[in-house]
Amino acid sequence: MRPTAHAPLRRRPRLALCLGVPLLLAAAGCGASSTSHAGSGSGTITIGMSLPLSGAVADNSKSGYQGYQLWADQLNAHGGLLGRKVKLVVLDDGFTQSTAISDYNKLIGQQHVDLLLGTFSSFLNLPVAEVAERNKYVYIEPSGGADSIFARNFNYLFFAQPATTQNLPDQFVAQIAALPAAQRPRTAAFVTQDDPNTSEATKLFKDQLAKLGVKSVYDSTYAPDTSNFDAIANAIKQAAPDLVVQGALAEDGVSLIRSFQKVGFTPKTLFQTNSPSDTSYPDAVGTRNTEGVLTALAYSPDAPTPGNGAFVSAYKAKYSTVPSDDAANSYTAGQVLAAAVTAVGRLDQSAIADWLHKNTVSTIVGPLSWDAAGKPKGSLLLAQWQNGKLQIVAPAAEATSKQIEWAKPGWSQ
Amino acid sequence: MIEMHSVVAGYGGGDVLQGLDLSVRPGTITCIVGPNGAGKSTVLRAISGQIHPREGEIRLAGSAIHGHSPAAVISAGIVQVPQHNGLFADLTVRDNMLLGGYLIRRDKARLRRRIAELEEVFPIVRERADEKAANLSGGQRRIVEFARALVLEPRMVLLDEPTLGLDPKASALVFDSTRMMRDLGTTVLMVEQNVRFGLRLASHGVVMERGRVLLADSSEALLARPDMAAMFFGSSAPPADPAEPEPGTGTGPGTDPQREDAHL
Amino acid sequence: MTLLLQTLIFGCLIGGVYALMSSGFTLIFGVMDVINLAQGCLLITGAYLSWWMWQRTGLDPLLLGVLSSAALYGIGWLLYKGVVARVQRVDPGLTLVATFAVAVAGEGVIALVFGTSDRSATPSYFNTSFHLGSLSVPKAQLYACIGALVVLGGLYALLRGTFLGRAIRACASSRGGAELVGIDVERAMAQMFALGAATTGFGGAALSVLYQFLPDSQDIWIGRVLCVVVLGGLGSLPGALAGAVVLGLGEALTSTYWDVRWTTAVPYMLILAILLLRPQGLFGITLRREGARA
Repeated sequence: MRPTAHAPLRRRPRLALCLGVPLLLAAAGCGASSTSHAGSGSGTITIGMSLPLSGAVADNSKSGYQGYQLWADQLNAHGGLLGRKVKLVVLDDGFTQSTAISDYNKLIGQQHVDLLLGTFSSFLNLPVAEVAERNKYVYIEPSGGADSIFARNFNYLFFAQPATTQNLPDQFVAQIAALPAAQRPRTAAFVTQDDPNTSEATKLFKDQLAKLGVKSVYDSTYAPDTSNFDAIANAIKQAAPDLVVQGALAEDGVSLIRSFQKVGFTPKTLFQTNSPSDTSYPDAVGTRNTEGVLTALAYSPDAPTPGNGAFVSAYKAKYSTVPSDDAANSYTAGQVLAAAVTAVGRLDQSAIADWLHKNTVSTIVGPLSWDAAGKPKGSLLLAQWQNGKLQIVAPAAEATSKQIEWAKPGWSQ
Repeated sequence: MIEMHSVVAGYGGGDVLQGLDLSVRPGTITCIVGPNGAGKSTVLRAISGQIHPREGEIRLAGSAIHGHSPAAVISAGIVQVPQHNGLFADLTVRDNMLLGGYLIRRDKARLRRRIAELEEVFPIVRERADEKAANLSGGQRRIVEFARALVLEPRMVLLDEPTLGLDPKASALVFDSTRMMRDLGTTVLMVEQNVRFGLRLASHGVVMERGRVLLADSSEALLARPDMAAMFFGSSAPPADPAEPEPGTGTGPGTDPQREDAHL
Repeated sequence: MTLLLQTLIFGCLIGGVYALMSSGFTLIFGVMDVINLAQGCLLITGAYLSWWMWQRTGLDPLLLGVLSSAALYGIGWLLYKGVVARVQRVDPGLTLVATFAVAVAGEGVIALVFGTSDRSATPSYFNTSFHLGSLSVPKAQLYACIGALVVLGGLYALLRGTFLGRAIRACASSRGGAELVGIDVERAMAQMFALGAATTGFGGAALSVLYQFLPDSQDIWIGRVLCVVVLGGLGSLPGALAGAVVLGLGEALTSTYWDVRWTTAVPYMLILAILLLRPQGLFGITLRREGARA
């Protein structure tokens, strides 16, 4: 969603400029309260963020960073925010919590940035949200959906996806429930990385599927630096489940599939979080092997939501590739921030927070609105790889394919 | 064969040799004796190239060898058998022998021939070939060291306290082996703590004190001097003691049937 | 039963790979008394080199490992002459710090040159297995394991049967004594170090096929290498093989029968256990003499 247009400075009559600027300064000065922090008046608006640009999730964070950059560039091309250019101040936390925390403290305390935007993964957002809340900065984050992040009822926290991890299993479980009992998977294996994002979701899958009569025959959690999945794949093979649900974060999704290939095991149904929506996924596992893999998406480039088509074209033009989940999520976060700031008309963090709690923002992932704890009140998409394309299969209103395949073909070279 | 003139040398801290003049004639066994700290071992190290003299010259048959690396000195024909760790304890006797020929390692035929020849003279080399050097007794190790030193057919061998830590029987072996080396045409320059032993074995002697040469003469002459008796044997002891066990019991250097207490 | 057999197969195969990764470190520590904390970085460098060449030429990455080994020999030589030898002259204890610094710096250089995305080499056999009944023997692990045995065997033969090997062992036994037989000790040390570095060429190639790797993957690998070497007895090549298999089996069994979460902690638990129960390692000698092992 584009921010409301401002007439660029150069079009205003010079006289008005001479009068207007000091007036603006005075007004901004008078309006300054303890919650608006730095940056009143003219000059660029600085937006601070720390991202895991190096380290284990560097690949994912790169596209997310590009989403932010595209948003900022488009914003500046159309007059900026409140008539001022925005500048992204970016630090690299290497996917380490302590570094992310100190980065945001630095951005707030030393560099006095005007606004904040969120970092990637629940792992980092969990502690950082607390930093923002303590300093009373609005914190819109695109990528931490774990329930624990929202359990603290922070006033300044907002999640820029349609739903949190809490709702991740909903669409898939609903589909299972819709199947006649005889066709549902009888047994399931649950395997997840030790990360608040994925392990919470996997547990929800297990509990909700249990209520539908799906028995768990394997359940384990692996450390984030696990690199060899052969033993795990073998143990799953021995348990012979109908369904495998993996709480994957990044390349572990690919690694598990490779190990499945090595031990010669194909689950009838495979659900993986995150990995199947990576742009590198089909190359990494082989296009034919993606067939039938299910995942939950916050975003699809094909979704017919307002502004999405334009976003996808602009992203492709700038980066020569289709935007990933992370790119779209960060673009959305930018949209939310811009909408709120523009509506409030000034850099007043508590006013911005209030406005967001009371309003709905139209974004490329659809209309977003939040509860008191910052949780969005929407739902995620269920997607499946079909014929080399990631299709949306639920909810019906946004589906690009009407059918779900329930039997996964065996691995091929 | 070896001429040292006014050599000043030491280790880091201070000079041990304080202007030393020394001469060794070819085909002889020359023994350096003297109190601890006199610099006896330092002389050997200076010759073998382990330390380089600050001043002075060392010449081998006229050519200067002072300041050269140990490898260069070996190539020139001088091999040293050090006091400790001459042999490589964890390597087999055979490996040790092969390493003795390190500088001719590419000439495999010559190396093989040399080792075969030495096995004749020192049978222990063949008999214990596959054993780790550490498993041999002190005396046996010395013999292997001698054999190894001869692989390159050196003109001169430097022996640093060859009887150190050895009992009389092993020392007797050393005595015979050293004479054997000389008989094979090698000049020997040795350092010995046991003055009587050393001067009986050698044909020439050098007495050192505080980094300088005090006396240099034939060993007979030295043994006969009364002041030698006072310095080294105590004033009451006669210069030659007929009761001393005669070295050279005729068995020659060979296998020691009993494993002596290990001198690790 | 199948589960146990399969787990044992995995454990042994990955043990062979670990042995390969650790052989260079074993050599350098066993013979030179140098703890080279940059060994993990060298491994990752080897992985990147093999991967990069595979990407450009399409040739088999394991075979390209031979070329990587040559490059790493040179890098090892430079590392020894430029850093290790100098530090050893000043204070041998500082070698630990110096090599650690090299590791950290090296990681940065790798990240600059190759970027920070996950990489892996995917020749045709990277995700396939030989099947014996219901048991799977992953091909890539098997090839790497065979390669490991070849490299370890070659190193062993080199140390025992060649003059270079004897000279190196002599230097470890007694530097002074080595000088006195005409060995150029500094040169022999450099050759030894470079050789230890060269093994990471092939080890890195194996890594590139078996795992996805990043510049900071060296952290987990130096941990595993240390475990293998401590387990096996510092400086013993047969010990490294034994220690590696123990580690591989330990990881596989922990993952399958106990709790997957503990798998990555196994190297450190084994180090603690062996230091408490038998500090000299499985094959190590009880007395530290001024002496050689390997």
